Amino acid sequence: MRGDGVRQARSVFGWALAAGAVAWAGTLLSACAARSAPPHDTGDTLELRILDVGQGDAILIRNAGRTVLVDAGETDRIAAQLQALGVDTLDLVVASHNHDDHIGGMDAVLRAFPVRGYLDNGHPANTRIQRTVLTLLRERGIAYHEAAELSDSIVTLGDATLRVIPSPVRGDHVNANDESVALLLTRGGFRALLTGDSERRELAALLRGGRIPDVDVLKAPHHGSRTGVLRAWLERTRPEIVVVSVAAGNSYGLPDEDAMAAYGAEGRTVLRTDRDGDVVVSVDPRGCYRVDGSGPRSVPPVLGGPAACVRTPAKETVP
Amino acid sequence: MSAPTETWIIDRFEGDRAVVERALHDTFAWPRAFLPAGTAEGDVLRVAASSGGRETRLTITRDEAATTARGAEARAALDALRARGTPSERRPT
Repeated sequence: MRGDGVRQARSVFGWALAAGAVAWAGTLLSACAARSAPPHDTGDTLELRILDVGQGDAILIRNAGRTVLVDAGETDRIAAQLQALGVDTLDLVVASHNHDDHIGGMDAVLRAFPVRGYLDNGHPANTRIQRTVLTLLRERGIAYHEAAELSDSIVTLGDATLRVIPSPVRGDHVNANDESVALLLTRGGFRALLTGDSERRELAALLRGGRIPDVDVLKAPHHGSRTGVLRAWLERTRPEIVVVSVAAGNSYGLPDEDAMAAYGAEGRTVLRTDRDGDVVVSVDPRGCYRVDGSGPRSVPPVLGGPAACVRTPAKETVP
Repeated sequence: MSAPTETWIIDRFEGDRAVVERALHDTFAWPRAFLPAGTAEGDVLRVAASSGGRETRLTITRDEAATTARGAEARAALDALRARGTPSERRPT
């Protein structure tokens, strides 16, 4: 049994709460009840999809008819990608931080889909893209949440949860990467950790806070940069799978060779969006999971999960 | 004819490169060493080109007033979204 360093979380967004438990839960519950059946039915499988958006991050999470998008890549191509996947509504959109490779496509998303809530780190970036996003949030009446105000809150997606972990690093002279919002996704015995572009300073602060458990899937911070590699981070999170979201031939030299060596050590499986396309993690209610790449590289699916998944034949236990 | 000018905003740094927002959805990587000393994320830069003979010179100046103004504008927009509250709080009673 894994140790879970996070306790006493609050639930927000009301999707699995009794009506009235949170002042505004009723609004979302009513909105959800009024929805028609989702056009993309994942059955009882949770989908965690790290999208190939070139240089940037965009991650789609779907479970029990609920859909969350974490970051929107650098360009408007994300909107077409989501439409092709059958997305018609986004219950929550998260901007891990406000750099262009994470919110460059956000205006396209906000224009293309009904969005019920938006969460970011509350950091002013001064850029035109952030100004455009904030204007759209205001004009469209989208509920806005700053991560710091939702520390340890839980977003409920059916029987899965997303824990909001704001960066402990704040200040006027902080690298915005180190203000990335972290999210811990849990279903059954499965855990995945997304930390935007966190660099060593934020990773170390998160470790000091004792809020980081071991996980099955880790999204490599900052596109496989060496600034996102910390030995203690890997020792604490102990991922089986590391996913690097990065563009082929990018001009920043990412992913870093030493970082990739660190991620690939100790038997960890590393997948990269530039080679594997969308990386899709399918998780059943117990937490048994399967990881597939959609790209041209031939990679056999990776199976994993709690001990119960291993004791029975894989084809009967994975989604 | 006036010299061409542009307004650049620093989106971020990636190693020795700055990622510059030249216009909405128009970014490019620029050597950090070719920026004024102390340039930081979110800085607004005025860029002017002057041509003479076989060379073109770029003059890049940090616009402190514009940087401060844009920061204040972004903070105000974020504050307004926070103050607006959640949907049910805004619902007429």
